Amino acid sequence: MNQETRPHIIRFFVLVLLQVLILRQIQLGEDWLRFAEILIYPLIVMMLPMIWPSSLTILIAFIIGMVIDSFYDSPGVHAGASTFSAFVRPLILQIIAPRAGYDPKQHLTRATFGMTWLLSYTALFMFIHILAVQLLTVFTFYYWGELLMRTAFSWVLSVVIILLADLVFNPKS
Amino acid sequence: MINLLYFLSRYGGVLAFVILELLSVYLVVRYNQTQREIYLNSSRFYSGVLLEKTAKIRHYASMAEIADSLAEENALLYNRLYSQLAITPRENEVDSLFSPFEFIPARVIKNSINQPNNNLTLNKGELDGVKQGMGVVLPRGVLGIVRNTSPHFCRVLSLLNSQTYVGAAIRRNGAFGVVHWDGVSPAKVILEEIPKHLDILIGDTVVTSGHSSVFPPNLEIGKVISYYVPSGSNSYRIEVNLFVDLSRINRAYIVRNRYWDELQSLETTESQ
Repeated sequence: MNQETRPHIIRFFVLVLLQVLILRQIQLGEDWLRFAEILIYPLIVMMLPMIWPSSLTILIAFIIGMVIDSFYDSPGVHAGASTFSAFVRPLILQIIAPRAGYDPKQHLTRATFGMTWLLSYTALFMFIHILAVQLLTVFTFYYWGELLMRTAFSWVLSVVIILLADLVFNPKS
Repeated sequence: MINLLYFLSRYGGVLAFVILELLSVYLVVRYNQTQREIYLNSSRFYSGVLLEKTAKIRHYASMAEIADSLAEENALLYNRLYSQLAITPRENEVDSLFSPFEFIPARVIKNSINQPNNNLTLNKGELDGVKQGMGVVLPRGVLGIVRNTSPHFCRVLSLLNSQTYVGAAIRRNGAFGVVHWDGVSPAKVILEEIPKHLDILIGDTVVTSGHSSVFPPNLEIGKVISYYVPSGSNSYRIEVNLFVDLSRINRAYIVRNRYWDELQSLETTESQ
């Protein structure tokens, strides 16, 4: 465990515990809203270094998804969604690239690229991720209109929670 | 070899993605087709232990509430006991307090109500005599059916699961049907298969019918809040409000029928 990987490992444990012990318990509302969920664990994948090979990033995302699934009793759902969002991550990063482009050694944080960048990164990444989660769940049970409503609802809440977490834990700009 | 390494560095990401995504989809499909806990079964040790630890903390926090509910339950049992004793049984009468059902108290260590198919984990397992198919009840309600067991834990198919069907009856007139969950609200279940020539009243109490060895008869489930006859159907569709809030339960009782093994072997010999 060297300097580079330590923050990622700590982040993994903290966010996974936060997700399965606290956020899993939160019920957002009645009827279709009951199936909306606040997700924070994708932040682990979002912040993995750009310099790591994409196959490694994808494998890590898959493992995180499996861990989450073991607590949510939804084998494959979060694993599949994580794998997919990790796969499209380079594309998302391309879309929101700053004018100067990226240096692969840079950290993917607000300190490096600023608030606007973080907001668009979180919004895009979480949208893809949550849509994938909902689609893999629908596979089994519900309908399109509800699906989009649920996705939008989970998405807004998750993005807000992630940005708040970032502001609280990395206060210096 | 060089070519292979080049290929991997170029397409490794795509390859990893395709393999892992297929694996995930396979897991989703397989899980949903066979409806069995195939891989991550949380009655397994690793998440079981962690969940039990956090459940302990939560139980401690809700101690006052648990004490209240236990006191309430005691009062109910006393009432039943004394009403039985008031009528002195005749010499040759079978002891009316004797029942084939025994109750194994258990703690809920994991519960969900906001999934399309909900499951629970309880802290009693094979070593305590829990077997697949046994019923799980609450002081005022039905919680579900044991779906599988490990030595120390068991997984319960919640009443709030599309696969759970429980035989139920209206206490006032004994009309019986089947209770199941329509996936809409965790506070309501649907009672079906009651023929439309029988009368139903709003506020009728729905109880277990006892037409099986799984649940004791006459156990309260909920109250009728609305009913109608769907067009073209011969039976009512009745909405039943549950007496207990299933999101706030801490303790449950697993029902063991003293004649469980005998009944099972009788039923299997018949079907052969």
